[in-house]
Amino acid sequence: MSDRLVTPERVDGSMSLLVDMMGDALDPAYADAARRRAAGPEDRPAPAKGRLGPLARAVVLLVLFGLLTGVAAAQVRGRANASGAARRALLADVQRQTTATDRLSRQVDQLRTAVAQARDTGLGDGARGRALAAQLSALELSTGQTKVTGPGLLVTLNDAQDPSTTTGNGRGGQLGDGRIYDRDLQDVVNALWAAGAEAISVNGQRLTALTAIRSAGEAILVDFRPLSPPYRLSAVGDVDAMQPAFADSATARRFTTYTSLYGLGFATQRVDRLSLPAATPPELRSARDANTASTASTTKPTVAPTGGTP
Amino acid sequence: MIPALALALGVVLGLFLHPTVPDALQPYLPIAVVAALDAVFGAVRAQLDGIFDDRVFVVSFVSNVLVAALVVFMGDQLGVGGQLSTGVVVVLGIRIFTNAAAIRRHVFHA
Repeated sequence: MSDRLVTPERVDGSMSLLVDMMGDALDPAYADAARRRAAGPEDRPAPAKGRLGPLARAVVLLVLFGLLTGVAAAQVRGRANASGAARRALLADVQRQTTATDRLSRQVDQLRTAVAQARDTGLGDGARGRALAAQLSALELSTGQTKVTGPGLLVTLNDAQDPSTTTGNGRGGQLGDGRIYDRDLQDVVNALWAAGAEAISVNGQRLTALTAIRSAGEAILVDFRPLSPPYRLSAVGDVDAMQPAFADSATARRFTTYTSLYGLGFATQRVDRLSLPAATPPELRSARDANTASTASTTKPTVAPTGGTP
Repeated sequence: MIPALALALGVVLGLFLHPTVPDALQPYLPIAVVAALDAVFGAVRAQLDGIFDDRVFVVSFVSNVLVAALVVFMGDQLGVGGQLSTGVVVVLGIRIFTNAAAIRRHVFHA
């Protein structure tokens, strides 16, 4: 120890911590003990009766060390198993529910087809029935209640690769300049309608006159379902008229500028055959089926007083 | 040979007996193991250097484990437990590597 104290000042004096760590990896006590042993062999008495010999002591310590390691490893493994089991259970839950949802939506599709068929047969073959059926299908088309296929435009919008990219004008810009917001989606959808689109869907969500495009926190909701980028807008319509009209719209020109300014993703593509799903049927809040409404109106007076007395 | 067997016996005991560790001590167990590992590597190197001393081994082992656990405990009380355990692991890791390199030079002469 003493020889380390008199070593001349090192050039890298301030870095002694790292150097010491690398140089004195072996406990200096070993060297001290060896020196003491060399100085006087009788320095250490032979192990007294009942005390452990040097080898036994090391063995006991090594068993202890192994025990410590084993226990720690067992603990870590136990904890990992516990959290892994919870994760697996959650995953299985999610998968089960997704399968159930898929099955139910298939059932909805089947039932819808059955309803449409029943309605068509119910309307009959007469001229009046056929006129009504034609009117119905036209209405369904415009209200988005049926699946639609046809040629159209596929517009893809995406956040900038690095959402923190700035405007490049040196002012620093705002965080989130490179993100697509709900109003951007609204603008593009409106431009597509104006360009002559007959049916539009965003990431598989069909738009109707009642569909809201809004944001909740960071996510964009379309028809109250959260979407994640990239946003793919499929618009069915007369492509030859729609494409130039949309490309010439103020919105499309604005987004082209954004692409070069902020690195937003914006692309328009002609597709010969787009397939749009049906929208969820509108919820009836006030309207009632005439048959049940008549019974409800007769029961109402008898129910209302009992409900109003307390 | 006997030390290696002792080590294996300890590991097997720890893995299969499953002694319950008090919840309060659980966070310090991994750090204690790393500290003990440092003492064991130092002992092996000392043995190969021919300066092994069982008393130094026992003292360094016990004090290493206790000090490492104590440092992390203090860190936990001060709210820097995670950072301090990282620091302890880095320092002990460097020592373990340096000693392992010395052992390697002894064994393989390379």
